Amino acid sequence: MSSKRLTLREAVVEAIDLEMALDPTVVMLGQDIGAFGGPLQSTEGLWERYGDSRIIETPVAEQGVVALGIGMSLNGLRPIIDLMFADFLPLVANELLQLSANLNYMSNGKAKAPFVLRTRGGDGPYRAHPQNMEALLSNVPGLCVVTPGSPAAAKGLMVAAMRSDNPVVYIEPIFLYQGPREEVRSEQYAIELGKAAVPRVGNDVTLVCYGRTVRLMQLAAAKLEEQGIDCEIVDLQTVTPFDRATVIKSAQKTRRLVVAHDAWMNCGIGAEIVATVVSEVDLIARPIRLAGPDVPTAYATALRDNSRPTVDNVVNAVTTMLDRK
Amino acid sequence: MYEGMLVSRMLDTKCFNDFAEWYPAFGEEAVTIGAFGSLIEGDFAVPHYRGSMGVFWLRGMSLEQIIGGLLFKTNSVSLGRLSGLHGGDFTKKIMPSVTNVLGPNISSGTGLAMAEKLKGGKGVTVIGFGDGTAALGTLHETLNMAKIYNLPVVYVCQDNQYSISSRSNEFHSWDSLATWAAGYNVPSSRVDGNNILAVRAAVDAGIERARNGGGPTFIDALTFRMGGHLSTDKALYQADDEKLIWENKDPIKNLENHMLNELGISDTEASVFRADVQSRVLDAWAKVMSSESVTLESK
Repeated sequence: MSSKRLTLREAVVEAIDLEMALDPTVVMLGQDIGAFGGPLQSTEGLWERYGDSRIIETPVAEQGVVALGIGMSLNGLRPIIDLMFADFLPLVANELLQLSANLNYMSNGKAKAPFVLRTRGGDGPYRAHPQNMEALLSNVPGLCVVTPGSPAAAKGLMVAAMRSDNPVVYIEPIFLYQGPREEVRSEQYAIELGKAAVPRVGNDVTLVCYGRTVRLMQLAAAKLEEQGIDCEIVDLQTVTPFDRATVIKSAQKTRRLVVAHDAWMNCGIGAEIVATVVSEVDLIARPIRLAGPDVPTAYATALRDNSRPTVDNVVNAVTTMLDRK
Repeated sequence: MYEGMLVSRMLDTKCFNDFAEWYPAFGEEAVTIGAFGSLIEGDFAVPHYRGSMGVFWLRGMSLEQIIGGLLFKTNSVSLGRLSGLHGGDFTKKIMPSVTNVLGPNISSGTGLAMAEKLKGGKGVTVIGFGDGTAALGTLHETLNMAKIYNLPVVYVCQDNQYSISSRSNEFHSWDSLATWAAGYNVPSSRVDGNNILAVRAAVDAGIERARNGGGPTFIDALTFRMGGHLSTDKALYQADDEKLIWENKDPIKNLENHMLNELGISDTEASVFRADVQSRVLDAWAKVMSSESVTLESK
């Protein structure tokens, strides 16, 4: 079985490339996705291969473009809408939350919208457009929100998103975008939506994460192992609706819980995870949430770099919880 | 056409009398029925909510299905989840209105046309909306895209001159919204929205243009909302003399005059027909009343 060492960005592009070759109904809409190669090279090589009729460039009109894509998905196509950055998600909240999320249920299954809205979110080396908006989209039923934490997950999740018969918002973490490479199988494969992965099995504490914090938890778990602490990592992959069964099963085993995400703390995904776990599991320690502070995301490096959970934050949280300090 | 207008008027009358909250299309039937009367199989209808039920009927939904939506019955196309005004049957290529806001159906309706063009299909999409909705940014983004992608779509503004109590000429930069569309280089015109023949002729020209690859058309069909925004609105902000002028332009009476003068159909014949439509509406209503209502368990 052949594989290649890809970045997360390259893995997403490969998934789209192979799917467009397999399925002629997959088209892409977005700004600067043609000769420019997409924001942060997110569509590199696709326009050269598939041309103007399938890689469709749009004006700067996010609301109109997202709705256009939703309509296209109702009439036999599977559009991928490239929304340049997650900062623009509030701009298209109307179309996502009040149109696409309602279609299937409100029409009693008669109008399904199989589109993917892909965007890039969170801080990273690129430094512009650093916000995380996944929680904003998670309060409304009917949307599936996905964030990959590794190149291999990125490919499989994008394939599943493109094959889903319902709307998927796929947020690509900018921090990992051009980051660590990983072996990614060359064949096309899907990772089921709504299922978490357990990239590390352990007994002492459950570390729940998604996107950039998956890598964070892995680095922290390696350090904690040196202290004899055995961490289990649960990568949500699908942020909403999240895999309750896998999270609860892990927490039942370890009876300790740490959740980390880059997005703001208040009403964040972490709150939902903690609330779910404490209502089902008798934890032996108070759960800990690590998240961005509830202030607007500043530009100053000194402010911003101290607003993300770090490896040390996770290590401290776990050692405090286990009273190993 | 006549039957469609009567179905719309009679459903509205029944709803207006029965429901505290109802949004009638009294006086606007020439626009709704005229705009969607020429669509053929394979075309998409994206109606505005006010007067939508006449369009649903025109596109092949039964009175029972439509009334089932009004009364939240499980035999409606949405299983009783959508209100009667919003419950277009998508399997009949009628866009349902699943949002609680206006605007997204204009732009997503245009997406139906975009897909049709990309697939090489012949279907045309007609999209209706009110003059109030026309001020939303999404219409303007969409008109620009419909032109640059040369899409097979006809926009019909059901210009009843009111957004709740706001008079459209006080809140729009031009007297006719057709001028806005012209600014996006979209062929546009204003027509007499109380004359169904005029509406239909303009829409037919747009449909022909769309079907022949000529791109989008915008029609501002000027009409008047005969009464309040909803049943409980007494519309004290409407001037009596102006209401009287528009009452005399009632689109159904207009068509009846045409039927009498051009086709020799007498008022007696027309009234027999009217009574027949009314009894069909009331019979269907009575039948639907006794059918199963939606619950959280309905599947």
